[in-house]
Amino acid sequence: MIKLEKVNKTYRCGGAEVKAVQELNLEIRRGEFVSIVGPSGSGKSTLLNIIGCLDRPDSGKYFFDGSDIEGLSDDELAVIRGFKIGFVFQFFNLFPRVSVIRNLMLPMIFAGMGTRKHRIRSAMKMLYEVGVPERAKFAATDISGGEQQKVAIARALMNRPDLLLADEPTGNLDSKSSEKIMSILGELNQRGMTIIMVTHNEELARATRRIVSIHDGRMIGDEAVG
Amino acid sequence: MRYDDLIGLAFESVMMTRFRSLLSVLGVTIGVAAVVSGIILGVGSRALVIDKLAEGGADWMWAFPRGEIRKDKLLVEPSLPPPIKVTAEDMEYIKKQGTTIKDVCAYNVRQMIFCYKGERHPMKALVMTPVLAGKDIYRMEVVRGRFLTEQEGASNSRVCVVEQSEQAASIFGDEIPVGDTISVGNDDFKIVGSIKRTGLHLGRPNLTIIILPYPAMREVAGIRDYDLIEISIKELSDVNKARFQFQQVLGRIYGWPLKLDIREYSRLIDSGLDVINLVTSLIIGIAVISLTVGGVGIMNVMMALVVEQTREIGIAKAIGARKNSILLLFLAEATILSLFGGVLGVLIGMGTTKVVTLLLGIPFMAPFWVILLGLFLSLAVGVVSGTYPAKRAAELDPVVTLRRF
Repeated sequence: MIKLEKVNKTYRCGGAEVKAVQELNLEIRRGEFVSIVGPSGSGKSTLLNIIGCLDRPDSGKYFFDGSDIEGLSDDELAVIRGFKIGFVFQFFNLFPRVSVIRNLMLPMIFAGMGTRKHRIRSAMKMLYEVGVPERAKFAATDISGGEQQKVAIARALMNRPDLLLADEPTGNLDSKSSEKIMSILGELNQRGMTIIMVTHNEELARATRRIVSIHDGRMIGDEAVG
Repeated sequence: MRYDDLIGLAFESVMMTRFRSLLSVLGVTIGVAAVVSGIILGVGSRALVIDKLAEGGADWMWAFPRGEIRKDKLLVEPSLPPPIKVTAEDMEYIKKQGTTIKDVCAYNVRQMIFCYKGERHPMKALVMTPVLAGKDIYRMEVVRGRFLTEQEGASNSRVCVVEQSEQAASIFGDEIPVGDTISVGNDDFKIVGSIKRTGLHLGRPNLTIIILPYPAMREVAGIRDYDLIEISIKELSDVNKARFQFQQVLGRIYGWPLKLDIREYSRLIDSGLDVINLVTSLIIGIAVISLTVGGVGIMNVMMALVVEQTREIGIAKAIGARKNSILLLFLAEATILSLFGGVLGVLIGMGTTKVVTLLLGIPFMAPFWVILLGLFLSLAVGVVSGTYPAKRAAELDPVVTLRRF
């Protein structure tokens, strides 16, 4: 499903060049549950952005679902993000000041899908699945961090994506909420969802099925778990 | 992204910052209000001026030929135009051919001595063809009795109509004695009615006008043919077209080359309208300035919004919003803001103008297009001032906007 060939990405940061990703090769098949681990600044978030079609590689090839990203326009990438990829962020990134249910409806709105009724029904169904249906009418910032992350996962799933990307999804949560989030992700994977999770927590990584280690933008390890 | 969603989201966003939105549209509101009131006042006072002048005869035009005056045949002073020979048919022809012409008549006026009860009085003998058209052009109103009929005007009947003037009052008493006779030389004319002038034509009423049938005056007093042909026009705005038609038709009747001197009364209107136009342009000037200020205000608010919502824009892009959707979203928001200001401006403009017109006695004429113009202007301001911030928002790099948080 995902194939990176000799991908490079360099940032300019305060005059200095930061080689965030270097000559990286990676292939991930449908249905995998992969964690990308490494110390902060190792380039794992950059890698996730490239995989998530938020960013383009400077050189090298990236194939998503068989199509070369290089040849796609910004709008085509937006469509891929909207329909095939779901994002979960460390800081939840829900729209503040907007209700939970409205947050869930936004991916459908941006994708131009469904009637209002249909959107509400889908959103409520997702909220049941992640276990916080009673929070539907709350403002996104008025619920706990764990709940926010559950809502964020629900939002990522709204357009039935093939791939779920999670950037330190438990990084800002207490251990109990972390456990809950991880179990939701595990369950999703069991139902066939491809998941890629960035983390620097080795223990969490053990809960996935494959661990890719990154250091200074290079892959230094790739092992199957269990 | 669908357009109904686009407008819905933009509207939601505006409603979230209600107070700030209200403040930011003030400039547009004032600008649109100024445009609306400026135009309504302009149209109203214009109509007032035209109305007042038309009452006085601004729709009036005359022509006299300026041919060479042959000295051997000269019977009148050289300063007077040569006589015109016209018939009632000619008049009918002019009226038919000139689509902009309302009424037409030929006339001649001459100071003569009239006798009433043995006393001699200088008065103005006026002959017209056709008489009823003349009555309309000169805006004569019957005070007592009746006017000359068309047949009387075109025949040798000995009847006349006397103007109710100061001089007439000193001769006849307070009321014109309808039924009495006055005489020119040895011929008696029966007074059938009295009139008064409501227009400005025929000069100041220093001498009383007496309207008599042309054939009778030709026989009795040797009044030669007509001096002038006069017309009134249907629409004041058609002055130029009317002048042209008038010239053409006269040329066809009397043969080219015809030297014509055409004068019109409507010049008066121009000077009156000049003042109004000046005031109107002043108000429009104020409107342009405040619309510009309003546009800058909206742009300012939108820029602030883009900075504030940098992160949201990043999230929106991550969950599938296209560049174009973001652009249109911000543009729609700016436009909604500005349009809201425009609606407010139209209402305020109409309201204040209504009060002002009532106080000044100007007719309140609000053509529908004024409302459309006000809304269109605010729409344009919204689009123009929203474009740059919207572009900025759309160009934001989602990676950069999400990284810092």
